[in-house]
Amino acid sequence: MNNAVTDNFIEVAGLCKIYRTGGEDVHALDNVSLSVRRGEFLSIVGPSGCGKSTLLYVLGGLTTPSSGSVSIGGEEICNLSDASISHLRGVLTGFVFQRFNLLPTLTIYENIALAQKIRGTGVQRKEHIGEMLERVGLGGKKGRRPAELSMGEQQRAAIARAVVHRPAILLADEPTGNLDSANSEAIITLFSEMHRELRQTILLVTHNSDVARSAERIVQMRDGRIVHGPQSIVHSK
Amino acid sequence: MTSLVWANVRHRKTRSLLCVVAVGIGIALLLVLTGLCRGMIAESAQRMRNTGASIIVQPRGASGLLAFKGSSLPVKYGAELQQIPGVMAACPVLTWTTTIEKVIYVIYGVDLKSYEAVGGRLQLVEGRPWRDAHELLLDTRLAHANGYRVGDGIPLLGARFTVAGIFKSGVGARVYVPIGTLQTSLHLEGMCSLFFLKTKAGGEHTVKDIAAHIERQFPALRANALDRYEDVMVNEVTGLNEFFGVITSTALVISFLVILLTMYTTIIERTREIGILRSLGATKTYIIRMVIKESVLLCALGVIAGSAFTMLVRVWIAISHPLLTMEVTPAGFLRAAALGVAGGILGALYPGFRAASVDPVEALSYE
Repeated sequence: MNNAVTDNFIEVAGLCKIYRTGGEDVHALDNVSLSVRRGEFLSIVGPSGCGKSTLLYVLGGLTTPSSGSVSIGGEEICNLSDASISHLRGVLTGFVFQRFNLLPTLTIYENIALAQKIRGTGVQRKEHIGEMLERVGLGGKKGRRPAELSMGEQQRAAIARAVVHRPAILLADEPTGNLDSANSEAIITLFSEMHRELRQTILLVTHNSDVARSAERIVQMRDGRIVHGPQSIVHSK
Repeated sequence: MTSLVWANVRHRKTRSLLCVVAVGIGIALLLVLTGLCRGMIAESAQRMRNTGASIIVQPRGASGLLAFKGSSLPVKYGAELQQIPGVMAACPVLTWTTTIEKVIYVIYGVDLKSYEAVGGRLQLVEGRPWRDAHELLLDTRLAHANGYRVGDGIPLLGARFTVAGIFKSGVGARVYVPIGTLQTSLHLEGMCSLFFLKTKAGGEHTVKDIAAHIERQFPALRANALDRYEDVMVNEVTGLNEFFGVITSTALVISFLVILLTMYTTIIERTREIGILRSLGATKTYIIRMVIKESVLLCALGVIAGSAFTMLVRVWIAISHPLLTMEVTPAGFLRAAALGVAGGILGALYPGFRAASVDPVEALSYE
């Protein structure tokens, strides 16, 4: 996969997502358009409920939009079959969540190995698990279950799971939302290092302006819309 | 997936244990009840075969189990039966059902010489053949179960009989009395319930031919080869096959309901986990397969537990109820295993499809 920063890798056009809650339509996304270059590190900021997480979930194929289009690498993803969209979620993207979302019954190593199996990369990438755990500083804790780790360690394990298969896109939804400032800084440093090393396209949702500034570009959302335009706030690193 | 399935079963120990026990009870219920029925019938049929006779002749419509008094036959038919080509000997037997120590037994009234002529040789391990009208012979299992010894008295048919001898179990009935005594007690002089026939081995007439000949010559009689008498017994016990069907269905339904309830509650409990798996790229099919795998694992453990429990019951029955026979064959275990797993798969289908249809985003925000 060519990770050079040369073209628009993700194209979002006229994206709408309407939820029906309590008999009323809620416009989580309202005519959102956005372009992201391959290898770009983008922060999406905005207040709670502005639609930034919904945008991330649509881009990751976790939910389908009510209207509009999303193409990744030139391929429209909104009308894919369950198998194809699952493949996209598993292989092309990696998710990091605010609540870590590690499976509590499995060890850290098993969590990552299971993800590899689901992605179908279990056999050829098994040796990468140990390396990745070393990379995130959890080499000596691979036999621990999530409940036996600190929150910062759990998030590092979740990042290892998300990037062990070298996905083209890393989607992070408030990855520091449950962490103290020291752990937040460590996680953001990890993101920046991985972006430098792997040249992945990173979309990071946050309401923390300090965290957002670690990205190359910042997009601000409010009430389901991009309020300052996709190129409006550009952080110079 | 396998590690996750194992981990889920191990992690939720109480739920898994209850599920395994419930499925195991269904399997044990199936194996013990059908095993007892089949065992008792098979043992009765085996004892009939062990008489050494080739054919049993009864009035048409008489019970195959001999547990109930059928229409009686005149003993004089024996002479006519012996004239049929291929028949070597005929022995009249008067059967009667009675209770000894509150347990129901079928007793045979025979003439020992005539009985031996058709192959019914009772191998005495203690005592001697009867010499008196009110003496009887018991088999070892009945004697052992009730602690009877030679010389003991047993109240029977309104009289007191003395145990003259104890024979090795496995031939015909468990209790033998002189046929004349039984006829007199029942006011059935000159009558019997059935005839055992001995046919000439390797002769020009097969057992099947001879049985057909008897039925042609005596339309009021039916003749069955003893080597297929087990089938006759099973078919003639009203509702036995239906009983097996009900027990089998009950085990299937228990397995189905237990798994349905277990997996349904598990799916609700693990909604967030399903969302995580979907975010990692798991397809709907993967989720369904995961649910089914877990239920099959629980059912397999239930089958193992049920089989082990069945073996314990079998040992307990052999010790505490030596007159009962429980037949549990490898085929029976396989049938029960297939049934348990089938119930598990059926029970997992609805929870599986429900889990697969969960919206990943909603699942990820599930508390």
